[in-house]
Amino acid sequence: MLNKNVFSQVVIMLVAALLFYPATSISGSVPATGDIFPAEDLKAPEEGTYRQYLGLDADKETFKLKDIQAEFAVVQIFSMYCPICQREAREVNELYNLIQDSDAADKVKLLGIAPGNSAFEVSVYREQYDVQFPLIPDGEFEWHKIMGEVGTPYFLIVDLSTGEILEDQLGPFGTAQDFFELIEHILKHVD
Amino acid sequence: MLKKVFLIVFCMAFALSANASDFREDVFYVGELKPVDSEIKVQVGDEAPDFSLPAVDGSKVTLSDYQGEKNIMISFIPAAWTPVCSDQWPGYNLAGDLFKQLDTVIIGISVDNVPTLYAWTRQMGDFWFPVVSDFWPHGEVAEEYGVLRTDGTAERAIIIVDKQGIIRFVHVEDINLRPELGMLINALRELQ
Repeated sequence: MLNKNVFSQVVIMLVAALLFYPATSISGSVPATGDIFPAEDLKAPEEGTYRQYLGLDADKETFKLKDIQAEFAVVQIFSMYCPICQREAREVNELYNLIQDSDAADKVKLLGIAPGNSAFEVSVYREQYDVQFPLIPDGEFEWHKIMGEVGTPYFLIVDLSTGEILEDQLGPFGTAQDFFELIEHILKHVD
Repeated sequence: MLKKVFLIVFCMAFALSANASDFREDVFYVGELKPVDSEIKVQVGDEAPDFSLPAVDGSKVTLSDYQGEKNIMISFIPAAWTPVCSDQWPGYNLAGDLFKQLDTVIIGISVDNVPTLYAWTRQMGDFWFPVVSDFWPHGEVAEEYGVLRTDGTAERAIIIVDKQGIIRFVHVEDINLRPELGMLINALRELQ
């Protein structure tokens, strides 16, 4: 009986894959669900608030995603120049608030990486939308290259214990509530 | 195992339901281009060549109309529906308050015709600054400023003109890149 259930779920999964992937096919070098998140260094936020949020040492200039003191990370690849990111900014803030107001606050951390954006450009975005979570400038497109020059916005949910990408979302994620429910689902089902 | 299958199916269902639509799917990828393909004809201290061009809202925009009133940041972009251009003016839109605090209006210029610019800019949102067409005579203003490329597109160039109509900043960016916003804001701050 169990085998039959598993078989039917796998069939559903394959049908979903056939429907989904042709619509959003992207370069093979873009890290996606099932891949390991790149291990390269990220520039640590200068502000103590964000270091504290991520659980990073005060004296660290760089960090790796796995250094974040949590179980999962939601990584947002965005740009202040991207009109879709601009339209979605308040929804992403709402996602941050939903996480912070829930039992998942200590388990899930949200951060943004901004390819091609200087620290000044990121500060404009932060001030305009009153973003409360860490945003990391990538003015020289280093992370953009690492991420396969993926378009923005791009969201990844990463298991910090293994580095595995559990979910990727190219383009806006819909509502914060839907994305939060996905995170909650992952929290319940990942051992 | 079953948990993992449920999780994968849940994730895929979410991906299917999320809206992945993006107008940039319609953007034409031009590849790596020669960084600069023209010779600038204006310099700091020159009187800015005047122009009067049709805007996407149906009006006519004349540079000298702003004289004595506003600083002007002229933003030439190479072409509509291309990658970097489609990510440049939306940033200026977001930074609108900064430009306004510095008593500055942007004039966005492209050598595309008005209908093309209308369709393209509508995909990017409502701009607080005018977008004008230098389509006909083709690239006449771009040519006068020395930013018309040999393929008929324009450079990605920024010219800042003060309230007296004098050019105070000239920057021709590598066409494959965006000029950094902080540099432009600093140049405008120096006019204060």
